[in-house]
Amino acid sequence: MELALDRPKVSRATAPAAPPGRISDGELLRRIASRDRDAFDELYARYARPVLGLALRRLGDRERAEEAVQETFTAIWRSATSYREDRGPGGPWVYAVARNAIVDRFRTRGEPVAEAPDTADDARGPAERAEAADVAWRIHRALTELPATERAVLELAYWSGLSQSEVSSYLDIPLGTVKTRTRAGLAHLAAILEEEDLR
Amino acid sequence: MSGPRFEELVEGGDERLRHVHDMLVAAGPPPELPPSLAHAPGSEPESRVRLMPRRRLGAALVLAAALALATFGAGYLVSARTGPDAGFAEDFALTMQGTSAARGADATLLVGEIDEAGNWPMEMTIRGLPTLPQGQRYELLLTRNGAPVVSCGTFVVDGETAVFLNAPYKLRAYDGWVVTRVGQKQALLRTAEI
Repeated sequence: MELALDRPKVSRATAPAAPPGRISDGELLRRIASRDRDAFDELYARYARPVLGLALRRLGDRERAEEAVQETFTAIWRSATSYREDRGPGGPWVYAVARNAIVDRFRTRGEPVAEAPDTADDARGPAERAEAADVAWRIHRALTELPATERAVLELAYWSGLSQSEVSSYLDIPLGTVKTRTRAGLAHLAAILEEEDLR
Repeated sequence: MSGPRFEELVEGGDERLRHVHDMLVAAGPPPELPPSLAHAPGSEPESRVRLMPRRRLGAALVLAAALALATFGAGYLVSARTGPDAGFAEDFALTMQGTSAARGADATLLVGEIDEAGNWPMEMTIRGLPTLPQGQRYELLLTRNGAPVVSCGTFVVDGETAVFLNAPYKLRAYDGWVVTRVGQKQALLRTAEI
């Protein structure tokens, strides 16, 4: 899907409404640097699935992808002191650590094997797969910043195949609320991604 | 890449939102974490992160599963020979948890002793999955490397529902079960590794 892989033309960046009380990734990394275990668990909760998704798409092998996730978070725990908040937000730093761990897995085990059948698109070449992996990373990471109410309706609509009426029934909320949250969720995602592009 | 149509989700064209829509469809869902990654590395608040090598970790998980199964088996031997409702001799039981696509849903899977023909009878009790529109069904599938591979049957639900299914396969060739909607890949319920 070519359109999906193009980066948006950024004309504005509306500040996304972060969930109340959410600590920034950069602040979490700063706390991890001072050995705050709770901060580490919070960062893991935010990033473990996006990192695993990125590794699965890049490596095409579940075992190596899981190793890459472990190595990524080991490196974050070990190296959080090298993160400098004044040089940028925490998300791209985590991405860089994850990418290094994935590249290391590449080097140590030779060529990648076929991707798991629930995530693979074998018709794509390495460049397209890498680009698709980056798109998935950006979306999955941005989703972690959404309020849970908006994230839930998007996940059910996009990845569970439920219609808006079914989402309404499943979550036991009015259909109008589902539509409002869907639009708001998409708008927040757009703002998060645009803000990311401006950095 | 399939997904919902933008026009069905958002009224009024907005290229900015459409672009995000296309990215969501292209990205697909993030993978579920396997049990081995359910928690951040390390367990002691002040400890340094020390990771068990992958192979040892796998062996430890297998050992833990074997111990759990043995404990369960011992309990089973001193209790009834059949499950309370299953109508077949129960071999082992597993729980399934809702993924991010079905938060709050869960299921219990009672697997009976294999019969002479090679069938594993199963009773699955499902809670929290929505009733599907007429003609649509859920499906229980065995997984390999976490990906659905072979079907153990389809079913519908209406509130808490118990269904009888069958796995005519060599279970040792697989590593778990998932429940999906028929024709879709996204797991709604998933077991731990078996």
